[in-house]
Amino acid sequence: MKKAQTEIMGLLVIIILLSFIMLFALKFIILKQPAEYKKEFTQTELASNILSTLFRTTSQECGGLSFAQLYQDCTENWNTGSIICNKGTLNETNSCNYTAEKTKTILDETLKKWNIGYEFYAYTNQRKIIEIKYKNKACAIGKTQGNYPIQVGAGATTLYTILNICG
Amino acid sequence: MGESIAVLIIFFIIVVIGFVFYMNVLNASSEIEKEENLQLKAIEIAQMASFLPELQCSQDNVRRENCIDLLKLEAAEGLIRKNSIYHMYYNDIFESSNISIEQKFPTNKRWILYENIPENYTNKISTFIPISIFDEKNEQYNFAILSVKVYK
Repeated sequence: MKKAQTEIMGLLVIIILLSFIMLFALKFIILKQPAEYKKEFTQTELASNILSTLFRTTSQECGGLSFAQLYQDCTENWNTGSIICNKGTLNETNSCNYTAEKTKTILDETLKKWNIGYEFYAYTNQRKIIEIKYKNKACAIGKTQGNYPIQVGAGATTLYTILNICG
Repeated sequence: MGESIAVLIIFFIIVVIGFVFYMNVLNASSEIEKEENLQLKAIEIAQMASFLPELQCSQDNVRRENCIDLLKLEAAEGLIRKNSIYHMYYNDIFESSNISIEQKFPTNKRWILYENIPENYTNKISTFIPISIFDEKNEQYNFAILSVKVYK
């Protein structure tokens, strides 16, 4: 083999080595996505915070009772509810219809508005009380769950509320 | 002699290409680092805003989590936004950000607590934290969202 051919072989080896190094760098550095600290922080907090804030919220239309109390009433008096909201007006409704409607309004005003998919369930061991869903593409990736159990009827029954946030 | 010069030229061309590539890689990784730092900053500011003792509900010196007192909020809004001394004090804490509280239930309302939006910002991170607004006068809790937007 001539000297020039040996040198070209050497160059070839250097180029191959450099290409490998560049490909490695490309894979690990350029294609690396920034760590999603914020997403982790918000998603873990969001579901549980929405539930705790929602159930603490009070409604003047239902005698100043909290959503937790309205949910309790709806569970105890399934489908009819003993508490009447907007009494004496055209919008008069029972606690079950009121909580379902207002929970959907609040979730739509927040999560749906931010284009975050969600699933909200309220159920006891006997029956499903409320189910509200807004699905988007992120729901196929994964979900973060928040729970808020509510004791009903002196603790005899537990109303489980779950909020799944997609993404 | 000619062959050696050709080899050297090719070698230096490869070195230059490698250097340019390395600079690009360095630039990309510093962009990632900047993005991560901004995210951490956004979390820090969001945490500070949601736990501001100036706004938190309290009873007998016991603070309630995720709750803002409406009376304190209305007073703070006027002070922070209109008084330059207070604005300067909060500028050290919240830097370039926009902190607002949007009530979603029973009625829609909005309070802008702090606003310092740079003219030519390149990035913005928004964080939303659900909170209760406690209306002492009517003894009711309203559903609201604490919105924290951090700019770079």
